[in-house]
Amino acid sequence: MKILIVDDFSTMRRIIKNLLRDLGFNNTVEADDGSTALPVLKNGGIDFLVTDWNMPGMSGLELLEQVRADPNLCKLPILMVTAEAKREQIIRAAQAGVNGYVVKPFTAAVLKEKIDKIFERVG
Amino acid sequence: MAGLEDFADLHNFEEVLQGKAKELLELLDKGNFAGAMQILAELSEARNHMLYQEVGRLTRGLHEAIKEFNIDVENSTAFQASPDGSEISEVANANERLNYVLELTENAANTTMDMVDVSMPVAEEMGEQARLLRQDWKQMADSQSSLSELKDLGRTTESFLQEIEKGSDTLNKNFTEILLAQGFQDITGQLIKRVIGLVSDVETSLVQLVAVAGKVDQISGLTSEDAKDDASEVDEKAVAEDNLVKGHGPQLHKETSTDVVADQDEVDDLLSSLGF
Repeated sequence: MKILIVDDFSTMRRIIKNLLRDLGFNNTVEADDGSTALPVLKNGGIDFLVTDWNMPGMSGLELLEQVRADPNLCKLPILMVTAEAKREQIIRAAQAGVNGYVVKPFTAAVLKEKIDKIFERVG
Repeated sequence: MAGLEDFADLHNFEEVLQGKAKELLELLDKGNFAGAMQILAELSEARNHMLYQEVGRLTRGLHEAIKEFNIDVENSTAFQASPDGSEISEVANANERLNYVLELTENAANTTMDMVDVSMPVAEEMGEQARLLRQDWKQMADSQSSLSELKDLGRTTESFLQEIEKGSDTLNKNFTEILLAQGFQDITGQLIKRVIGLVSDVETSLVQLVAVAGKVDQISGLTSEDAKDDASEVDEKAVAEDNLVKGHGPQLHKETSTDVVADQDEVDDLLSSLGF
């Protein structure tokens, strides 16, 4: 299970990486925005995407839309972990096909719960 | 900022204008054109003077606000690194200060996480040794032990306690370092407050600039145009969509805003209402 973590703040990437490691996911790669994440995804081998929303360059929503539009990537499970908390944004992300949505600040338990739920559904 | 809000001069100018206008009409009635031109010249000069004065006031106000910002932050030890100490472009430096805030917070977060990374195995090791020792003690209580076995247990226990002491010291040291790392909050808080102060000063000045500009329009006889309002309305929708796609950033006043979710539970409720 290889996970791509996308966030423009390195500290947040590190926090998520550590939490994922505690959950038993040791194989993670990182990108600092959508435009650096997309080539990594297109290269293949990523099984799960955790992304922030508000980033310079390509935002998380744009990344989500691009992934869903790509026939090779459209089935990739995506968890959004973001400080964006407007209702219209959550609805927009849901419409774009996000698999889970976690608002910052979050706890390790919430992250685990959402990830478990996603894998339960995806199988 | 002193005196910027003082528009008394402008009021005087309007009175002068009214007085001079009457005088002008009287002179024109009498056919004294040279006198009339003289009045017009005086009015023109008064108008120019007013303009210069208002613009000057505004410039001075902005300059004061910005200068104040610069000096205060310069005094804090956290920002001695400024090159050559001469007067620098203060607004440009606001960016630099915010970058510094970013750097400090990043360092503090990394220090804290480094310490946690180092401390967790120490705590784990202490727990593991305690578990092993407890088994030894249990065994001893359950069986008839020889004196040498008891002595062995004593030695193991002593070295365990020694490990606990050492581990506790290490943890203590690491916790202190974590505590100290939080010191960034003080500095960054101050820097951010300065920048907020600068921004609101600039905002106030800009509002006053708009007021002055309105007066200036009045003085120069220009009327403002309402036509551009329509165009800006059209743009608003595009900007709102752009904000939505790019993100609004962390939300303040989550509890009182209805268009913002307060916590993860509300996110979950919203998503499940959408069939998630």
